[in-house]
Amino acid sequence: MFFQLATSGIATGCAYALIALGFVMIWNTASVVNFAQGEFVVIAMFVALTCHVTLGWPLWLVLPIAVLIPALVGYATERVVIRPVIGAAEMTVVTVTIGLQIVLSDAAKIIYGGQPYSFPPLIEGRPLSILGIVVPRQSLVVIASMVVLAVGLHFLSQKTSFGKRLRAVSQDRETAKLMGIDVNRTIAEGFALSAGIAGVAGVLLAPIIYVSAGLGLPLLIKSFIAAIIGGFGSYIGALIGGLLIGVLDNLVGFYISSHYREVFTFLVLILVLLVRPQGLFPHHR
Amino acid sequence: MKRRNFLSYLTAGLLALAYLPASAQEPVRIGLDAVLTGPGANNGERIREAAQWAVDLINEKGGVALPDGSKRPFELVVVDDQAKPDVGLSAIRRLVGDKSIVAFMGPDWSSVTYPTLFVGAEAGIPQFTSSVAQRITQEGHKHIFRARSTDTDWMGALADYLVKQEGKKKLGVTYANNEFGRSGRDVFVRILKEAHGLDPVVELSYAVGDKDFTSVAGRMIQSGVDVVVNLGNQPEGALLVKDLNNLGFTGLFAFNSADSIFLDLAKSNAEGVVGPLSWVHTKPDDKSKAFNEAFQKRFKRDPIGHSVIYFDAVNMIVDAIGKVGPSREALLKYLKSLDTWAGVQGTYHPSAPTGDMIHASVVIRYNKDLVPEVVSVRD
Repeated sequence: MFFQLATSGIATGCAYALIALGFVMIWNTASVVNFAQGEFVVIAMFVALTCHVTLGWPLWLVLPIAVLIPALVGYATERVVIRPVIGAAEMTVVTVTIGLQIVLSDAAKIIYGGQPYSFPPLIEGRPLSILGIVVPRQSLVVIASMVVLAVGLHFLSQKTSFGKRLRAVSQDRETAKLMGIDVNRTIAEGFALSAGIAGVAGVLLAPIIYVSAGLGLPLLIKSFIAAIIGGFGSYIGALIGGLLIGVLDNLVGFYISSHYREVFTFLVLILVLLVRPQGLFPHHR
Repeated sequence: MKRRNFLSYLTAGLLALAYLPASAQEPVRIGLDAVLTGPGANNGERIREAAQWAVDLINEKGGVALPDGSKRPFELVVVDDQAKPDVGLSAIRRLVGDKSIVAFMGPDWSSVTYPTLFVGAEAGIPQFTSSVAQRITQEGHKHIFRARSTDTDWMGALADYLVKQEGKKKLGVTYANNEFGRSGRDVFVRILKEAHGLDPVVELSYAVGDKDFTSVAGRMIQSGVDVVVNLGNQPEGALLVKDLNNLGFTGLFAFNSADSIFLDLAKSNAEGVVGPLSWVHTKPDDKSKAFNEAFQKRFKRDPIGHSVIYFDAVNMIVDAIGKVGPSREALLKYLKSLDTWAGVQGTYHPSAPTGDMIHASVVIRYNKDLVPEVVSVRD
C-alpha cells in the first residue's frame, strides 16, 4: 500500500510542481509573488470544459487552446496589472496579486457558479497494474507531461534566445537592460509562459479533481509551500517540493488521518524554514 | 350634450371597474426562497422551475379556486438566498413583509432555514421546506412543514436494504467532516446498531474539499469491508468511488447523496452505486409515472427529487386555499388540522406535531446504463 499511495501522490504532486514552477518563474523574472497563479489553472480548466464538454470540440484542438488562453491572460495581466506596480513597495505588489486572485476567482464563480463539473479523462481505459501497483492512465499522463515539460523548459532556458533573456533578466535586470534586452517584454513573456505552465497543470488536473471555480486558492497554497520547501526561486526545488507534498499528503492520509494532511504539510514547511531556511535546493535557478 | 354623454359613460365605466371581482386586479401570491446564484444554484433553479410550473398549471385552469367557487390568478414571488444565512434572512423578511403572500416555500439549505425560522414563526405564515436537518422541526415551531423525508428515514431504508436484502455484514463507514456528513454518520451507525445489531468494521472521516481519496479507499479495502457507506456531499463521493474502483474494490458503494449531481460527476463509476433518496423519477407508482411523463413533456429531461417536493407543496397550498381562503392564519390552522394529503411523492401528514409531513423514501441502484433503478420503497 505504501508504494500505491506514493505513486498516487506523485501524480498529484506533479500538478503542484507545475504550478510551483510557474510561481518560481515569475519570481525570478519579475520579483513578484503572484498569488493569482492558481487562477490561471482554473482558467485553463474552464476553457477546456467549455470547448470540449459544452461545445464538443475535439481534445487535440482544445488542449492547446486551454493552455494558450491562460498564457494570453498572463501576458495581459503583466501589462495591465503588474507592470504599473513593479518597483513599488513589496506589500503593494502582493496586495495587487491578491486582489487579482479574488477578482478572477469571483469572475469564475459568477460565470460558472460554485458547483463542480466533471471532465472526461484525457486517455480512456482501465487503470494499469505495474508491479502490483495500480496506476490510473490519467496519472501516467500527468507524470509523463511533467517530465516532458521539465525537459522542455530546461532546453528553453539553456538553448534558446528567449530562455537566455529570461535568465539574464532574472540575474540582473539593469545589466540585462544595458545589454539591449527589452526587460519589460521579457517579463511579460515570462508571465505568459508561467501562466501557460499553470494552464498545462489545469488541463492535466481537470479529469482528476473536477473543475470548479473555488480550486485556485487551495492549489495556490500547496504550490506556494512546495516552492518554499524547494527553495523559492529554484526550478528543481519547485519540482521536488511539489512531489514531496503530493506524496506526504497521501501517506499522512493513510497512516494517520486525512484531517492531518494540512497539519503535516505546514509542519514540514516550518521544519524546513527552521533548519534550512533557504529551502532544499536553493541554488538551482 | 356630448360632454354630458361622455361624463355619463366615464362614470358608468368607473362604477363597472369598481364592481369587478377582485380577481381581475389582485392575484393570490405565494413565496419561494431558493438558491438561485452561487453554489447550489443548479438545484435552486430546478426548484424554481418546478414551483413555477405548478403555478402555471393552476393558472391554465383559470387560477386558484376559493371556498366560494370563484377563481383568482395565482402568482409565485421568488427570492434568492445565495445559500447564505444573512442573505436568506433578508430575502425571507421581504417575503414575509409582503402581506399579500399567504404562504412560502424554502429555504432548501438547512444552514439557511434553521437561523431564519423565527421570521416565519413570528409572522404566523405557513412555511414549506425541503431542508433535512433534524433540529429544524424539533424546536416547537408551529408554522413549519417539512415536505421531504429526513436522514432517519433514509438511513433506516438504506440499512435495511444493505443488511436484509443484500445480506451484507461487514460495513465500513466514511463521512465528510461537516454537519451533513457527521449527522448522517451518527444516524446510520445508530440505526445499524439498533435495528441490525451491527457495528461498522471501520469508520473514517475526511475533509470537505479533499481531492485525493487514495488513502481513504486504501484503508477501506485493507479492512476487508464488503460495503463502503459514504455520508457526505457529491463531489467527494464521486472522487471516493473513483479511487475505490481504481484500486479494484469489488464491494458495494452506498452513498446518501447518490442523486443526479453525483451521477454527473461520477459518470461510469456510478454503476452499481446504491443510495437512499426521498423520491426518484423511476419510482414505479402511477402518480410518479404520470408526473414524470408530464415533466418530461414540459422540460425534455428527468425531474429530480426537489421537483416533486416543490410541485407538491404548491398544490397542497392551493388545495388549502380552496378550503379556507387566502389567509395566512386560516391556512396555518387548516393545514395543522389536516391528517393526510396525497401528493406525487407519497402521502403527507400536515398535522404531524413536529411538521415532518412525509417519511417516504426509496433506495436506488444505478444499473449499467446509469439509470437509477428503485430497489426498495418505504412509505
